[in-house]
Amino acid sequence: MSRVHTGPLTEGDGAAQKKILWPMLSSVLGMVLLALFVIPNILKSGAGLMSPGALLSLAIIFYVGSSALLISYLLRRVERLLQVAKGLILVGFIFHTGAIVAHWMVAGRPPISNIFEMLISFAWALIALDYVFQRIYKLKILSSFSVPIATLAVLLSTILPADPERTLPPALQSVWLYIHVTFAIFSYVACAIAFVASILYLVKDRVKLETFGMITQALTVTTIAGIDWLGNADTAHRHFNILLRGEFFLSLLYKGREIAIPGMEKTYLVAGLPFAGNALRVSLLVAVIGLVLYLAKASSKTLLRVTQLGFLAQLASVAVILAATLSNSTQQMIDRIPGQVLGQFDAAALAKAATVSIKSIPFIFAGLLVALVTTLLFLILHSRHEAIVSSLPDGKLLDEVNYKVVTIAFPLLTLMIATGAFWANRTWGSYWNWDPKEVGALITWLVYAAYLHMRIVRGWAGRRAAYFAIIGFVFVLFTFIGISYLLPGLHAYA
Amino acid sequence: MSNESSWIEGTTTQAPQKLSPTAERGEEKAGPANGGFLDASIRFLSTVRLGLYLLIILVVISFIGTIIPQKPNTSPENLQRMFAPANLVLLDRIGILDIFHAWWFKALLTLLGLNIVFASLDRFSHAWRYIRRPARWLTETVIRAQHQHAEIHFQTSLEETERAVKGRLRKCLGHPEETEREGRKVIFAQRHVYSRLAAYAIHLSLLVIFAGGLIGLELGYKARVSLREGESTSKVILFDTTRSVVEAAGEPRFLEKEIPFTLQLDKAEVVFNNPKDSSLLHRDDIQSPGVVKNWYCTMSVWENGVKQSTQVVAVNQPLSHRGFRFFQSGFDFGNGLKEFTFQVRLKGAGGQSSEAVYKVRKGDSFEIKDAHLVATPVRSGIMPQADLPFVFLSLQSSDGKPPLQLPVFDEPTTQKMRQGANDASPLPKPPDGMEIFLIDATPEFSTTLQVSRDPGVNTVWAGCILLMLGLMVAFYFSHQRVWALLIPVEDGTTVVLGGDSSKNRSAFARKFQHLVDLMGPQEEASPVRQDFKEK
Repeated sequence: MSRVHTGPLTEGDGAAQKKILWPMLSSVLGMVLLALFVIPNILKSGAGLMSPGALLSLAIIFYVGSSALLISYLLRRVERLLQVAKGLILVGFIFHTGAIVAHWMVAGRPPISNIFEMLISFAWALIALDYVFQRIYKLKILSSFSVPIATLAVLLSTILPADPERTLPPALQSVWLYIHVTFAIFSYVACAIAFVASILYLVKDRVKLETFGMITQALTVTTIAGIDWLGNADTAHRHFNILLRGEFFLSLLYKGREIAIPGMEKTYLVAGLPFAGNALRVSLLVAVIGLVLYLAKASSKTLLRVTQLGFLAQLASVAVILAATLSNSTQQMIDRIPGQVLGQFDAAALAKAATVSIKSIPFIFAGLLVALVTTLLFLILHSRHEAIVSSLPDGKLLDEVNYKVVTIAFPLLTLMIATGAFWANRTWGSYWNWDPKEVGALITWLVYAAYLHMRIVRGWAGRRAAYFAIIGFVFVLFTFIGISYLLPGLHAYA
Repeated sequence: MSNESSWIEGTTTQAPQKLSPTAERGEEKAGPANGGFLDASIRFLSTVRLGLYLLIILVVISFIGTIIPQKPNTSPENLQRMFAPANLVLLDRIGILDIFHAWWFKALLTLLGLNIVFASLDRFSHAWRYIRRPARWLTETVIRAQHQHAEIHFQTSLEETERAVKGRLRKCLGHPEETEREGRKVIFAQRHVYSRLAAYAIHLSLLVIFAGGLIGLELGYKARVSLREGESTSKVILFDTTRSVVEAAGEPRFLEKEIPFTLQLDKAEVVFNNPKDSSLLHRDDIQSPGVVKNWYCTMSVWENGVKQSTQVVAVNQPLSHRGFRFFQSGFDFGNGLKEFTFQVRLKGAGGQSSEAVYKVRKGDSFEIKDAHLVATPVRSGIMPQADLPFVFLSLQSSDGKPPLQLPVFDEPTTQKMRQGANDASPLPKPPDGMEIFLIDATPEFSTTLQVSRDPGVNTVWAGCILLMLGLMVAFYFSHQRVWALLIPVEDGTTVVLGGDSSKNRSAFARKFQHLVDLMGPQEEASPVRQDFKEK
């Protein structure tokens, strides 16, 4: 960071200093900016520095700093970056552990009973297991992925309700909850590590950039279209509002709760967030065009441009949503509510009392953020392809890590399903109810079972194994988050 | 090609097996059927490829089953809201609304089960050979062709060297066995040979789990039973999952089933996290489910008029008897009140007033002192909209007049109602100078228990345990073998070491190196050994 040196410098030192200057600066800048945002918030909340929220915020500062360094490490392999990042991770991990312990003490139970708690525990376990894997396999590069993923998970957890004082419904008051969920977290972390190793393998194996680009575009299209279909209905229950009307709807909140519309069953007051709908529409259209161009095998320059354009559009969408919710611009939203709906409310009182928050769309926002980060990672890969490929560890090692981690994940998945079944049998009288979360877990198990068979019996390794592990992780995410969000069932409260 | 291909691997180490027909996997040669249809279908059923396709089909179908709401987990009303009637009937007829109980889904599972059986049988004999007929003797060429191999020179006699080698093998692997053939002595030691069977244990465990599920499906059932406090029954109402959605939306159909004992609800109570809120007059809290700590039902089991046991049933705390289990599933207090506490204020003629509190159980009468009235609660309940408990008291005076029917509420409600009352709808009033209010009330609960009879459940757990053990052995143990060929030479003995493991070869390489190091200080400069050092 500092360019003042006492004593003579060799040329090599100078080059290294130059190489780490920008990563260091950006990391410090990010941490300072976050601290400027976080610390006043902690002081304002009056909860004290030892409260779970405050500790988690402090952890985030250090995690973001180390993530910036670790992503830079992908591009500039200077060991110094890694050492500083390790220090930051350690500090962040201490705060993170503190946050979990504090949350545990406030709640009086292990922090694994709702999505917020699962996410912070997942991130904690990921960082811990990443360290273990570093020790075993000396795979420095793994951190460049697992730490940013953990950071993203902790960041996303902040927009979910923490709710430590929530009383668990009687059905969840069982020691089996903790056993079951602990297995779930560790198996999912193992699946995540196998996923990262698989992606790295594919990069190392020189899978064409176009393929990665196509997957990135497909992910963006699926995410935004999925949000548009499932999570963005207006008061008339119409779907595809982003695509057709350029509107992105958000629930208006009163005292943190959605506002029911009188006389309409299960319908809450939503309003279009200014600019967000059109920004998302542009992102979606650019991603669709990008996908078509990738499929049509357009020139690589065109493809890069369209991906960059898509990234900017996505960045703008996320920024607009964040800006509008943080500035709480409800007046403009209320102005655009259709007359017959607004007629049922006192518009002036509504404008004064209603709020809008990112917290009402945690999963949608998470989806957008994941698509954005994926596009960013692709652009980074694109700009430094050769450097990244040559700096990655041997493909055989990555492939072995992939398999080893799956052999850890699979028994854990089995234990998760078996303990869940045992618990369900004690609580509901049947060990298997075919509820969506159970089926999701079963699907994940079947995918990894297929992976293991193909690998052990048919010798599938390398690319095919990597693709399998990636599909497996997609199902993990679908089961972990997708089903809780989309489909209610016995697991609705988890 | 892979490190883990345990079945294929054995063939490279055991020369005779190279020629054996089972060494090549069946599916690759599943060409023209020469044994007729049965042979062909068995060959087809034992391929791993079929297993893969079945897994993929199951994944796709299960995925559809999570996306589309399924009948057993979704109420008919919700389904009808989600789909247009015509679509609903169509989807129902195809079976999409109850995929996991559809005949074709069961057929797929059966096919998978058969695939597991035949694929395992097909390969089992091969794995069994490692246990029954371990290859204790190999030729020098084959030993040198092992994945790990080394040559060590001992400056000792054949006998002494043999003793040393055996000792080290015993230390590193297990009991060493010597075989002499063609004038050459080979010492063989192996470890974890049973891990060859882990895959079969896993497949067997899946079959056990399937069997447990099948037993439960055939011999077990799900039902429910509703009881009020004091009530008893020996009949349960079966869940009917066979009806179509269209029927299900109509009148419910009940199928009763007799159970071999009588169940009685002695007492039911709700326990709140915050005990001071447990009064019924603070009903807000009963409505929000998060605040209820648990519902407790004291149940007794009777057989032939003899009480067998008494047990408290709560969520996570079922009652078990003769393989039947009863789970807390619903709780209701819509049956009126069972205990009331009244406050009676009397204003005497002299202006002095008195106050008394009476605690009464349902069905009991009580005398209001100083007023010469006998009060009997005749009807009670909770007004559904306001969540307000009420009691109709019959007040009988000693002078023989017809009794007065008086509705009694808590004090604020009574005041409010009096203000609202008018001549058109007069509110019956207590006799002059008297006020009666309800100050506490305990509702009479009824409980709904889910009944489950599943004789297959222990089989399922046994399968799960076997599955876990199998997975542990399959992933974390490998069959390790080492052969040592002793060749007497002029100045001592040369030992040719070769070894391999069924998986995790990198760990085995370290172990083998350790073994070579143990073999002692004998000077040796084999290029192979150099290899290991570099590793």
